[in-house]
Amino acid sequence: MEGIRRRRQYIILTVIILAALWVFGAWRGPLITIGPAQHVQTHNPKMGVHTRLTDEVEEWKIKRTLEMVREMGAPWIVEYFPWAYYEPAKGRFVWNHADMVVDHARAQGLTVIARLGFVPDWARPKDTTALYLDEAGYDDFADYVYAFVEHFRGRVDYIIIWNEPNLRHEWGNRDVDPAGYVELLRRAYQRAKEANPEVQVLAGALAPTLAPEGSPDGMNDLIYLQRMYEAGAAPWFDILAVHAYGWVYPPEDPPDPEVVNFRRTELIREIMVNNGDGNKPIIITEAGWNDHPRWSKAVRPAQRIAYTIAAYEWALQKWDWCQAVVMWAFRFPRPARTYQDYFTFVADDFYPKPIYWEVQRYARTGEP
Amino acid sequence: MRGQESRSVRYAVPRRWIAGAALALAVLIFLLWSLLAQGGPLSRDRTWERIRAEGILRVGLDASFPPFEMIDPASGEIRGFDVDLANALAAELGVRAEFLNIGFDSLYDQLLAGRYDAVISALPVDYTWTEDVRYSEPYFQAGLVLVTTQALSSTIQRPEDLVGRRAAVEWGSEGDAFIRRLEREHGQVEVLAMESPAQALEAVQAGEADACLVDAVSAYQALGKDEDLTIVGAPLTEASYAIAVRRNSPVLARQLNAALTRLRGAGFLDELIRKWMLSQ
Repeated sequence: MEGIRRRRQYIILTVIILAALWVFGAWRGPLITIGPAQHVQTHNPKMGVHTRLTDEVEEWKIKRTLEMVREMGAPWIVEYFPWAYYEPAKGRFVWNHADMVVDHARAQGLTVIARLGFVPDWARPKDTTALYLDEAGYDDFADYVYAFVEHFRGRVDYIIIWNEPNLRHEWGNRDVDPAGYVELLRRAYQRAKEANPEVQVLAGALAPTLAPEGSPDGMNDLIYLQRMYEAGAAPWFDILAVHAYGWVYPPEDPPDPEVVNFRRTELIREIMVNNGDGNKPIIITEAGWNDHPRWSKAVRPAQRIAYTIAAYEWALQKWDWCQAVVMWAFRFPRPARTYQDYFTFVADDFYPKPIYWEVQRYARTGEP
Repeated sequence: MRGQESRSVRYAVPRRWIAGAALALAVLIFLLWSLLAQGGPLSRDRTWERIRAEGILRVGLDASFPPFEMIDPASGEIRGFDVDLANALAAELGVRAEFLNIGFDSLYDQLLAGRYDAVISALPVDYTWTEDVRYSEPYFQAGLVLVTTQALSSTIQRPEDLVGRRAAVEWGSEGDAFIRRLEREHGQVEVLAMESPAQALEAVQAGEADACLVDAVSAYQALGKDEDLTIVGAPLTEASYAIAVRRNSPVLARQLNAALTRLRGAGFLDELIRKWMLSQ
């Protein structure tokens, strides 16, 4: 009897302590606040960076990342909002994390371009990758686009439909299919406009590649874009997203169909004009140079700084059809342990690399 | 009732005995597991067994990083510091080395896939990989060093001594990051941002800068050409190059470490620095 009484006392004591802790936690309120609205100060309003907050769990890190983007002087960000994360079951949406990212970004005065993709298990056949979506799933994806645009109406005005569909890997390890992508784009566009007629729909950026026709890896981006137009893509996007990596070439290196460089964007633009789509703008949603000491497509750190700033300046001075240049990538939540780590501006522990300070200097002074 | 009580007393084993026996058994199991588990003194190392049987140590490297490994344009063969080191290590183990040229970003994956036995490729120790690979003792420190002239070496002995002086760095490099932090913490430095480590060193040679912060390899290469330059102090950052083997190669790891110790003791590593950096 004594033992039972003592056990009961322990249970009551535990319940009281847990209740006290819960009350204390609730009373303290959230640790991170959105904070007052900020404004990006920059000489170049076309500057942007691609953030990687999708897998960033802690709110303070999300906030600090976006603060540092603002302090660097870049008003644009591209962020990935994977369908599988936010619609874990058909029609059930979980926006908590996405809300956190978007609200912090807006508080820092940043314009968010949302990249949408990444297929949940329930929307694709078994044993396919998260980048696989066949036509049977297009309407499900379009429904997600609708829900996203509706939920973020007034907060996110730009969405990108898919990513690099001209690569086999990005197209779910299948042969690439420009007409198939256009059909996906059409359905997503229509649903997006139903949710918010003002939202700007970006056709997914193509991977700059010289892959020849019939290559198992993908299709040359210039050929793929032309095929998209031939499949009737023009009415189904407002802006074209472009990836414009410079590899080892400076940003002023002239465009050449046989070379992947920053100004390959002009060849993309030429195809748009030739297809009567010259009134649409381009947004470069990935670009940049890498300064890995051992990677064959990398440059020296000094070149990376100079090229990055020159690319921002080039777009500002010479490309009136280009709304923004978004560099890959601002910071990773954790090291990638590959050459990818040498694309970043800030280390995973928030330590700014020299390129961060130099881009900030450029944004503040306007001097390349 | 009385009879039952006496039986229970006769057969009862003291609880502390049971606890003691259980503890002893647990300790025994742990010791056996430690001895036999992967990496334990009695565990098998099939890689080492194969190396001994075939007489070949298979080495993965990325032959695009002189002076550690590069392809000789005349002969088409892979040469360099690491090639000499791998050959010497293999000789110490009583086998010969065979080389496989692999892109740097695939070196770990191909090691884990079993395409070769060890990576000897100016590979910086990365502690995030230690669940997958075993590193040897470092054989070269490639971190940032402070270089100045013989004349100034008595007054410039540590980075803080650069405050108020002229220092050259490669723009955007680790040295650049280091000097920016130094300025924030200790005071202003007149920084010359150069396009390469070689230019930063040339600025010191030409008297345009009092010192520079560059990687150890660039520093050694400059020291070989100009005796007036000197490295002061220990490396300021750690970039330890080491050999990597798979986790399930404990014997190979021990053998390589023992061979490295012997080679270091014999002055072979210093000889490689002289051959591939100071006299190039």
